[in-house]
Amino acid sequence: MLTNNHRRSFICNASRGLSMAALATLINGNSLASSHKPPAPKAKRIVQISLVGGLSHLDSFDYKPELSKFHGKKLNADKAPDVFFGQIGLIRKNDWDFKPRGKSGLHISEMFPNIAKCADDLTIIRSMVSDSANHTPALFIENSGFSSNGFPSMGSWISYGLGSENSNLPVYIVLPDGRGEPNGCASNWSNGFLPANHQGTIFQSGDQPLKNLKPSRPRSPTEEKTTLEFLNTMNSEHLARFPGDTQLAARIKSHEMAARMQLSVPEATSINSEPSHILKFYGMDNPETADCARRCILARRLLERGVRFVQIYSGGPIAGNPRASWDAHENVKENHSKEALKIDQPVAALVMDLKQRGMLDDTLVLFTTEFGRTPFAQSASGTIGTGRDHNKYAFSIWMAGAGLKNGISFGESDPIGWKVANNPVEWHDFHATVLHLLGIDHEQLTFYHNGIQRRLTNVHGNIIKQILV
Amino acid sequence: MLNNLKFICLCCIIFTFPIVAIAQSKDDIATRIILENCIDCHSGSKPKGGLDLTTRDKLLIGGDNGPGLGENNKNGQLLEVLKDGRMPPKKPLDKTSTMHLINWIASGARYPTPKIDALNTTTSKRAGKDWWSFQPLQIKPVQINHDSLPGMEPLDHFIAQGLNQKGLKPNGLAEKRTLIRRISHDLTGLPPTPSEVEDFIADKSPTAYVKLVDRLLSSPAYGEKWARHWLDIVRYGESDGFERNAPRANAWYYRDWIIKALNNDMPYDQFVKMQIAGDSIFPGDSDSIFALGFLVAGIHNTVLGSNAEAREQARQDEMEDLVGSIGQTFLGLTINCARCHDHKFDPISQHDYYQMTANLSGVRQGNKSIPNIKVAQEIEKAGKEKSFLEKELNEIEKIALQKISSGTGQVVSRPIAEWDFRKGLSDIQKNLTLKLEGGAILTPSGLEFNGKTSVARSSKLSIGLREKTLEAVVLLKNLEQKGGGVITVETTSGNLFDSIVFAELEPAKWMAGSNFHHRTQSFKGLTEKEAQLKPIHIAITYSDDGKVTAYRNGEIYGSTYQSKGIAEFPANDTIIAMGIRHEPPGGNHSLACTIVKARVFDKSLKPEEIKTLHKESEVFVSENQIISNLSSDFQKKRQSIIESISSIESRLKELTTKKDDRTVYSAISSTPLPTRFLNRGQVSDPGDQVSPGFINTLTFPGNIPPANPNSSDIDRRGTLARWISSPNNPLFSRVIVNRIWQYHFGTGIVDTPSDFGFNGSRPTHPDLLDFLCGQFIESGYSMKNLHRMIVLSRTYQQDSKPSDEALKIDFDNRMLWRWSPRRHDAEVLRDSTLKVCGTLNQEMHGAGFSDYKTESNNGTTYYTPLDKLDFTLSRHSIYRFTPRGANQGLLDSFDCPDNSSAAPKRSKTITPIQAMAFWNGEFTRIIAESYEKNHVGFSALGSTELKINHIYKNILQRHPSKNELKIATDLVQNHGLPPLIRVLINSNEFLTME
Repeated sequence: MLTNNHRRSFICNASRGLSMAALATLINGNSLASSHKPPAPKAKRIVQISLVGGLSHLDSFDYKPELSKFHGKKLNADKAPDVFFGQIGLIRKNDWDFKPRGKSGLHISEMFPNIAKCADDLTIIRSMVSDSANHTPALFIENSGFSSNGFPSMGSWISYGLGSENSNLPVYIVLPDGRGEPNGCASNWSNGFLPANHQGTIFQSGDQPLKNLKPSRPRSPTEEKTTLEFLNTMNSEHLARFPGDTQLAARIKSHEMAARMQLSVPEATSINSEPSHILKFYGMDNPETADCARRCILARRLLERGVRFVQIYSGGPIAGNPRASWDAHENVKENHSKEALKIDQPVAALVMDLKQRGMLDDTLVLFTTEFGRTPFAQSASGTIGTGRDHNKYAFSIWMAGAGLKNGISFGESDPIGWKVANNPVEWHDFHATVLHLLGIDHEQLTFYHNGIQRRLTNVHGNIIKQILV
Repeated sequence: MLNNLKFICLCCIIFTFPIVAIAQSKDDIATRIILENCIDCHSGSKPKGGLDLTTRDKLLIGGDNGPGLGENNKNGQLLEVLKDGRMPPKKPLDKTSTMHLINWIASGARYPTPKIDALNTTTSKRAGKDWWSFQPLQIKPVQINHDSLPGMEPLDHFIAQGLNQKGLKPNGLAEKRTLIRRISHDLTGLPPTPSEVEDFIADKSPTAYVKLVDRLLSSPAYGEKWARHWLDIVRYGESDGFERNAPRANAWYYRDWIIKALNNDMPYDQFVKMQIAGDSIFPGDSDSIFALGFLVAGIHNTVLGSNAEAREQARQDEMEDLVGSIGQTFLGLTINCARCHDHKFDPISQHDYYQMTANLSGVRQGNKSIPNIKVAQEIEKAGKEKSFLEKELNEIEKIALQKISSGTGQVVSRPIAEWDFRKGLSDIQKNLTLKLEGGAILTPSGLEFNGKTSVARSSKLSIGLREKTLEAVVLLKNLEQKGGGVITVETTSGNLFDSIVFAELEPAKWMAGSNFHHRTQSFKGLTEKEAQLKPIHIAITYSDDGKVTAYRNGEIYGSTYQSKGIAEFPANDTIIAMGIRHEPPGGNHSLACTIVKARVFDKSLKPEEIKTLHKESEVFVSENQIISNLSSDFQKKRQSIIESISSIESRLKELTTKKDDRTVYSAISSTPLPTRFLNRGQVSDPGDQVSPGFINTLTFPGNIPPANPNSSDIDRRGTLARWISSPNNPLFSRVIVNRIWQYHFGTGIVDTPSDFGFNGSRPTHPDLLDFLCGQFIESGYSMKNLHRMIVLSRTYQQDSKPSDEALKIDFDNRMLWRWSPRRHDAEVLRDSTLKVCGTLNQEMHGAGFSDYKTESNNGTTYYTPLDKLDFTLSRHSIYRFTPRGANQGLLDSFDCPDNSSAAPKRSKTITPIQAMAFWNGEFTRIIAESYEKNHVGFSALGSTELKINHIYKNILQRHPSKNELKIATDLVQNHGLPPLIRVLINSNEFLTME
């Protein structure tokens, strides 16, 4: 049973002895007392590439030969489609050619020529559905299972549930697109009502990846040493007046951990220490791919050092011209070509690199987007415009790595990719599956808040057993 | 809480303790077993397997697999299932209970009560009507303990009882320095000054502490500290959340109102009534607009797309947030959990949820203007002058008009406003201006309305209206639409209106629409057949005696009827609207049509006048006609009046620009739309209409009936607020008393301050809680009195030292054998640091300060923390701008919550990120470096030792120890003063309330 009441009493019991391990527990929320038999963990860590704006599944991972047949025809439906902008043009065929890839023969389009090379390592879900076709609520659902601000994101739940493997680095790290944070900003990696130590920490590019890692103005090493020692003396004397107070002891410890983090973060983020062939492999030498390449390399380095969850965003703020996300209302070909170019090589390199290091066996790679796009164009009725509107009724994502069947696809959309035809997968199911792979029963990972034992999966969630090994 | 289509409510707590059988008979025990184990699934609108076990009749009928009870009680679904032992699916029934039920069936399966009602009786899985918190307050006499310690207040005796039972002993009293530091932080969020500490220590009188408490309670910083707690509870934030996350620049009035109300010790019942329904209960109190900020403090989605269902979904989500917030804040009940089904744990039905919602369905979010009283008076005066002159003018013109009329027989009435939309938007009579919204567009054939969002609204009428005629030439988009209005006279709130309405009550018939159909009856006219083909002329006259008559193409439409009486539309608060029946546009209020012409008259026109209006398009008397029919004296007089009127008008125009000196983000009261029961909470599956009501299981003496189904938004909220704050409502005082206790001691008597239901925790000291409630009510709901009682207790003044023995028995100190030390809240830490370093800017009230860089990118607002500190940014944190979903910098790391959801209890984490933020951050650097210049006379202090002493006394309110002085002196000599300040403000002694 993972209610926080249980957790709390566990923490308190364990920390009475003030052992180092218990202190780590108190600080990081490490380890869990559970009477319930959890699933055997397959994955230890996760990297998620989150495409902001809505990737067209019809042009990337969901091959619909019928679409060309219906090109220029009207959608045959009893009810007018309820799309975001309310403009329903004629059906538009895919703008990219598809090919069967690898031994598995999975169809992947020319939009992602490099990712296509990893086809045999991918598990594509082609029957995703979402509750919202509105960007920010949809992205919130993808992250937290709820459509509004204020709920803990999956990374935070994982931090709460599993704690850290390396207390010198944050558990949950977010790497936003160089063009800016997605709408909703920190709400997307929010700890919600979980304790603040579970929120996603942003690593920026530049010489101070983590805020306040170094003093805002440089200090001499002697000053730093003297002051830290003085603080420690004061706090130790203070603690002596409150023997057994775990909070006060934990705070002393937190300064020691901060000091270690000051060493470990620069080490972990020094991408330039990577050999040049690796840098090139990810695409650091190309200005188009460099931003994503840097973040993919960084992600791998962080994962190697015990970070649980790294989230890479592809796409910044939703609105704007030219668009800085996948939100291709005007022209899918133009927009997706540009966006895919930025991430195709780095993401493929990340999968291959994890594999060659043997890390893919216990690492989960998630490639997600908040929703898909419509098979009909977003244009005046009777025309075949170049853009597509939001589609929450069917879209594709893929996963790779630990505990998954490789080179398969799961679920199907209808012949034109408008709605799901079989095996619909909701975000709750996706979240339940990810937690399962981490060895967490999604119904057991709960936290009491305002009258409810909250879960990442709310009252829903079915593990997608068919994709598991 | 909010989620699309599917909602919350889950339980992972599986209770395993046995049934507490209070039953006497076999039948009682059997139905109790059913209640405990079966009824959750086998009841409600969609019982599992179709089998409903709540009544014997339903059991007989059975479910999908056949009758529940067979002939001669031999078979039946229930018996089969019992024999199989497969129910309940997750944890089948134990043997004893199974046998009991089998015997019960054999003996006839009698129900001792007509119905097994899950909401009625508490079981091991859920709370019923008999749940502890729903019971009346039980105020027991204080039991004086024999070995009582000196200084024990009544409440200490309750604590002593609990300690005795556990074999615990209370700590001794805290030393005076500790006590003044504790109480100062607790009541004002700030540490005491060195001299305050010295004075308190020096004051040996027995009343020293009482005096201190009274001084702190009357300090303005008290309101600033405790307002923060309240804002946490009510999820107050200063941006919308969601995609756009627009800032709410005018939301802070609510925050200021809270501070003032707390400082003035506003009685708690009034405090609550003001926030839910100040406009209803205290109509004369202009502050209610600020207090109502409570209703709109939550998140608000402004990007909804074009899909009607999604828009309704968003509205329902918002209602859930509001009902949830009201339930949790004032009643400690999670009413929001009953949106999709009966509450899984508490005695709240889904119907209760919707009838609570009906109380609030008129609440909308928005900015409201507050008139400048002085300017408003001037406007009123000028308006009076104007209408006096207009009357005079009318008298003169009447002379001319009579002449013309007797000569030509032409209609002489002059409209107060007149539009010919083929020519443009302007009022031919030059009285009113028209504003188009929501896609209303001017086309060559007239003014076009989309029937969904569009509306035309006029400026306010400077005269009041009783008698009137509404007239329009209109082309309808179709005849299938229902309920929209062509032209409407309404008050600005839309609560009072008369309108030419199409097909609201009878398909394709014209009607005189009015608020709650007060002046509406059927004209019994013919069904409209051609208004979609060509424009028709339609008019309704309202005469002084209450008669209402409609005309279609110049002929009487149906027949005249006598209404209950004419409506009185006030001057300066009445407008003409077109395209809607009344505010707000949308739903069935809106009409899809093109209005060609429209006129409003301030009298009830005669049938022949209407006939003429229909026949002739331009029937009005021209300026020249009037002049030529007046004597030269009258012409001159008329001219001078016209000039005076025009000068008043220009003055009015200027005054109007100044009339609102404040715009406040607050609740906008609108006509409540019907509330429907939503099956499974789905907007796509609406059920019956639900009238306003309360929680049916929460009953108490002094019955307050719910608002009438036709009542206004204001009345509904007024009734709700009265019900909630009834002195007999046991939850009302229990919840607030517990909150105040929690903020003083770190943990409440009930550890879940916004949840007094089954999932919440049970009170550690139920008698104490009710005792305090009794005192609280007796004091007239004085929160300051309650604070005083608590902090003057011996329990509060205890030392905080731990003891191994006591820790073993009660690690969490729930019995209060000591005062639990705890880290300051983020804001208290920030403000205390500002104060001890001498930079706290004590400016109170008004617009807040923002330590964010706020950037707008294509309609979305982004907030980045600014690493900066200046005089403006050094104000008390309560004045800090608090957008949602923004990284809050330093405060974030100290658990300042994101205000997207309520935070009735903050978490207290300790992390390396937090350590780095306060050790390395820019805030700390600036403040440490500013110490010297901020303290007058500091530089003049002769020695390093004196300086160090000064710093210790300000920051820690004590002298350094010998050892500290030695280390500090070395540090200061080598690295200057700022490093010392940094060390001290990072020390646990500074960060912790002891």
